[in-house]
Amino acid sequence: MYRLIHQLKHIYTGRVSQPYREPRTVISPELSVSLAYLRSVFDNSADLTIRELQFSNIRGAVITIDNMIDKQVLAESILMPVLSHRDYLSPKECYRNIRYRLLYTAESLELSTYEEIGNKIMSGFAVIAVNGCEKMLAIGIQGYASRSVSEPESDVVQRGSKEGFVESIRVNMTLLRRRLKNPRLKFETMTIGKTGRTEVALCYLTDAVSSEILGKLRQRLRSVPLETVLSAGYLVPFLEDRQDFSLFSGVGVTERPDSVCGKLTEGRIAILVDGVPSALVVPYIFVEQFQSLDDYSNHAYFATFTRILKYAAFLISVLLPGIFVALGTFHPEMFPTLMLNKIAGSIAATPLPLTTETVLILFIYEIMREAGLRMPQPLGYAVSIVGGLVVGDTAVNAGLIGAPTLMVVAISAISSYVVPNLYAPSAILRLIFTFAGGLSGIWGLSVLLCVVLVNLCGKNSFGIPYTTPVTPISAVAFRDVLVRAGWRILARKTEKVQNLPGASNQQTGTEPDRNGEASSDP
Amino acid sequence: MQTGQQSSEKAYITAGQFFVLLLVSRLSLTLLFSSERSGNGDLWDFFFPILLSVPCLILLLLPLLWYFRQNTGCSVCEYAVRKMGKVGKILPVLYAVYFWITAAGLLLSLREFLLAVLPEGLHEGVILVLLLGGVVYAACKGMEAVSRMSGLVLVMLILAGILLIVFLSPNYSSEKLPPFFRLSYGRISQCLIYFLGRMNVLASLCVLSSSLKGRPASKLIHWSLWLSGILLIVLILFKGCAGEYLQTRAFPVYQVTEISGVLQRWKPFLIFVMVCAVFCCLTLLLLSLSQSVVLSVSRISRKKMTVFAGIALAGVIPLLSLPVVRWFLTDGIMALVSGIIFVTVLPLVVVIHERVTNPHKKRHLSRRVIPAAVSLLIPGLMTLVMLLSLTGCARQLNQSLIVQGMGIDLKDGKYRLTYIVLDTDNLENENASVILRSEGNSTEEALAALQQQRGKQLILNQCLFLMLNEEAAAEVQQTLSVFETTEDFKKTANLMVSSSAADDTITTALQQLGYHAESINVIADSKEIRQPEIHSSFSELMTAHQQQENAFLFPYLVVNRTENALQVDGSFLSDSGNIQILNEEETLAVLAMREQLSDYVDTVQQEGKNVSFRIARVDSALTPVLKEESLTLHFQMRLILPDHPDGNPSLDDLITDKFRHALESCVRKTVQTNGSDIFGVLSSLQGTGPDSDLSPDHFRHLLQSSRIRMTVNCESSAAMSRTVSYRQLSFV
Repeated sequence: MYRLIHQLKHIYTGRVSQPYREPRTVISPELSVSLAYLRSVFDNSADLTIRELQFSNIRGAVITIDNMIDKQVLAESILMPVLSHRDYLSPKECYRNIRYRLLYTAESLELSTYEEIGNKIMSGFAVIAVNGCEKMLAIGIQGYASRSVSEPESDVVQRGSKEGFVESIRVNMTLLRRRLKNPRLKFETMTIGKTGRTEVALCYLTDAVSSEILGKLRQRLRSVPLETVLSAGYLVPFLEDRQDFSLFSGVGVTERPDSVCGKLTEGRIAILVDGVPSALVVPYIFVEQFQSLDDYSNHAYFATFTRILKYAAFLISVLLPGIFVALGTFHPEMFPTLMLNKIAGSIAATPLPLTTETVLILFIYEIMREAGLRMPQPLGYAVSIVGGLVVGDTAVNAGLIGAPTLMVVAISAISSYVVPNLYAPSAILRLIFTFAGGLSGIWGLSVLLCVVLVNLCGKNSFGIPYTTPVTPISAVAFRDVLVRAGWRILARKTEKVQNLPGASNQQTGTEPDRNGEASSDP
Repeated sequence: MQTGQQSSEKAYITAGQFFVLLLVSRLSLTLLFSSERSGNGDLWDFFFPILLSVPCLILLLLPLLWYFRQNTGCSVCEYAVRKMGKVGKILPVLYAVYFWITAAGLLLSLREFLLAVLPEGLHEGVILVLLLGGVVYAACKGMEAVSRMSGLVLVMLILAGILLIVFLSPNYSSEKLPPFFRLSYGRISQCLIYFLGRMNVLASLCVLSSSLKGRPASKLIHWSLWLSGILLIVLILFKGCAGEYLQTRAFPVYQVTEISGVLQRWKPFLIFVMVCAVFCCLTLLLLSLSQSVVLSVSRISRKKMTVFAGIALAGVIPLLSLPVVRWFLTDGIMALVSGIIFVTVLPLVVVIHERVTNPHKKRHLSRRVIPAAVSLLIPGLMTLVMLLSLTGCARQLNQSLIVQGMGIDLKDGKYRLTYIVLDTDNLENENASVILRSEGNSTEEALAALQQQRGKQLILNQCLFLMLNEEAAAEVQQTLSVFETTEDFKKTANLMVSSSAADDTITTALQQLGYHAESINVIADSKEIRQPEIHSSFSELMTAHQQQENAFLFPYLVVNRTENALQVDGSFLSDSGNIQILNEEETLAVLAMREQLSDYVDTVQQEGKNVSFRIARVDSALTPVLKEESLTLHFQMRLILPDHPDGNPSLDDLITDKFRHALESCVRKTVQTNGSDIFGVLSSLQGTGPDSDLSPDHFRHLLQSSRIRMTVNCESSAAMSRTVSYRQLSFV
């Protein structure tokens, strides 16, 4: 028992494993040594392809990973010009000729370590090695299968662009660059993960970003101790404040490049992860969950209407079951008489207390939702029928559950999809509030709501208060919170995120260096 | 160092945010205002104290204002600890004790409030513990989180205020505001002491001001002005809308919602706003308490101290029921004296010391951050245990009897109650109500008998009406006293009287009208007389009794046996045990003399035909003259007929005769036969001379032997507009 407690304590309070620091093994000038080393590192993996060549009397090799490159480009743009040339005098001259004169490709990089070679060939590069040179050349001729740019599935808009991020980080960077044709848009790449060595790119506008926020972000990314990064969600906890336990996330996730571009102009930083078709955006504040691109495409009055609708839907999704249970159990006098008649009748007809019934229906709904996500599409219709008819109709007619309770849960569930970013916290909060309402009425519900409010108000995202600009209030930023002011008003000033009230980072436009310290002058 | 690690970062909030927190905290005390704790007085008694509060507060805060002008970034306690040696180290300890007592006092107020308003099945101790748990969490989060939250709470308070204004203002009448100068100096002083004694939240400035950015001095003055302004508006609004109703309420600020049916539906929101405000106040006190202790015992981290302080406060909760603890924590002169010491005197001492020594050194506090799991585990376990053990099984709706209407018959000293109860098993049917009955020697006994018979609790907050038989109505105060004290009885329920037994009337009505209680209510509402002013609710009756009015009008229900139908036939008058049944015309006469008759349409027989006429309004006056034990009553009534064509004197005469006869009949029946003061003669006579203080019996005798003069005439509004002086009648 003691050992178990000790182990648990070590897991939750022990030192986090140190982030991986890649070793740097310098390339040997001997080609055979380099090839033998690479074969041993890859353990003679079947997809490692080494094509040995002869440049006049100088040995060379082309190293690739099978199916990661475009073989036609390799043959036409690299092998043909390189092998056609006969006049190689020395290894260094051979290398120079290949690098500067012979290749018909746009991209080439010089590599000096074996680790870089490994990264590049696994990123779809072809690496040319020349016997006698301690450098190798990586040529970008990616040809692996990847998904084309399509409409994002979760961030759906009516009037905006239909392009969404894809798995390739380079394509994603292109999508951003096309929209922000500004030389100040900068991409800064780094590798995360000891095993996965995933490429991550920070995107920001150098004249809008806060150097302090950027420095913090770099520091946090460098200290990520993960082995692999297979999804954007892997990085989110490491980007949040360490002491911050909250149901709400201080890191935004979006699949839309146009959303990201809008946020970059406000001084935010986007993080693209190779292999993940979404971008993380920091800092992220609470009111952003309710803002979507459609708000800015529609008229201001309609955008305001939908904005208010979203806030109301969130409150309904979180509070409605709890309030219903609280009123039905402890405060029936607050119901209108006719409604009370119906509710009392349904409670009398069902075997379970109101709280238990509501929680049960919430769980059943979550099961059905999860099943709907995971199941194969052909079975989707069957589940819809089972869920709708069996749960919705038969159970009510059989008197197992009450129609008012089912209606309340259904309204709450539908409302939670109005703001999909907040689905996870609203699902959990909904359950918690239901328990609180059933145990302690409106009073306990109010206390719990106070706790949630305090949690929300005490959260920061990279030094920016999570509840700004509502509290602390900013009149300028408030024009896009509860209402969406017209574009003539919005266009007057773009409020940078680091200038929001309560922010501890109040710098703009300072060119940061790669160590996270701001330089004195751009 | 990552953002959010508070171990080496100091929380900085603006002075504006902090004073919003102070404002919300102080307003929470107003929401918990208790008439009993303020000396059984009325809310209106605080009018002058609120007016005087601004100069008094500024006077009390002068040392602090002076201190803030000279020092920023260092609170009074911090300065004392750094600069005043061993004596200075005692100061935070004193403040800690003061904040602990203040927080305990707030918990006591809250406990009394919860005892009055919590429904069955909820224990006030559980709510207090839950609240305290949340407060500890909030205090551990720090000043920034709480101050941001207070901004949201202030917005919600404003929304709640708008809600109250919108739904209460139709009831507003400046006549309900008492005269300004009715209070004695003693009462004003007493209220001022009570009001200023609740300024203890200001002492947190002496401990937490080092976290403030900006200029606290100017914000303090704004704060006092805002507070006084808001409280004055609340006072005038509540008093003008609810009038005397609030005087008997234990928690008037909360219970004012009962006068509006719509506001009762918004109660969850109002409860939530109230809880948030109290939450902010408690959190502020706990933060001040923990900071005070940390200043004196610097080795303990603030978070750990906050948890210990929260546990210490939770330990007070079981003791709040002890009389000695309640006495110790009650507001009054002690609260004012201690407030003056900690808000004024101690800062003054520090300011004087600083003026003498002029220090500059700052002190850095070190804090340790304990693992979150350990700090949350103990309170979490305690809360869970309490929840599981203290929360009773709340009643389910199907285990209760939802009463939609009630009939009360009194016969030979025994009460027989008839209930219209919702039939939850049979809602699909048209007959959705059932009739139950119980008996007892009093109304309370009869109610208890039904609960015992059925094994279910009564829900009375859906009761639409109370129907009394004549005998029960004669003892109306005794009959209805139990409902006055029952908190969950709907105070806006209608009152009506039945000519026969209420049981019979209800049974017949339900058979006739399809077993819905609302239909009886609607019938009584419609009334043959078609005048709204004889609509009477339970709350109006109670208010009338408070004001010692002894005449009241009810709708009077008669079951027409030939047609087996229910109708409203005239009205009913209750006067200290004497029952009078007035017919329709006599009721009209009463309404006309009270100037409550408007847009009334009726017919008279003229030359064998029914001719209709419309009365726009009535101008009336009653002039009593008391001379040597002889009372003369002069009734004057002028009927304004807008559609009345000039030159039809015969119709005028018919109308005038109709009302004169009605008035004569009414006066004879009520004033002269029973000595009933239905026309408010006594209130007219009071204060008019040395003979005007009359005992009830004496006055009744005077009424019965009074001489009556009447002047009734008709005029068209066209004729009225030609008259220069509009009101020629003298009004009482």
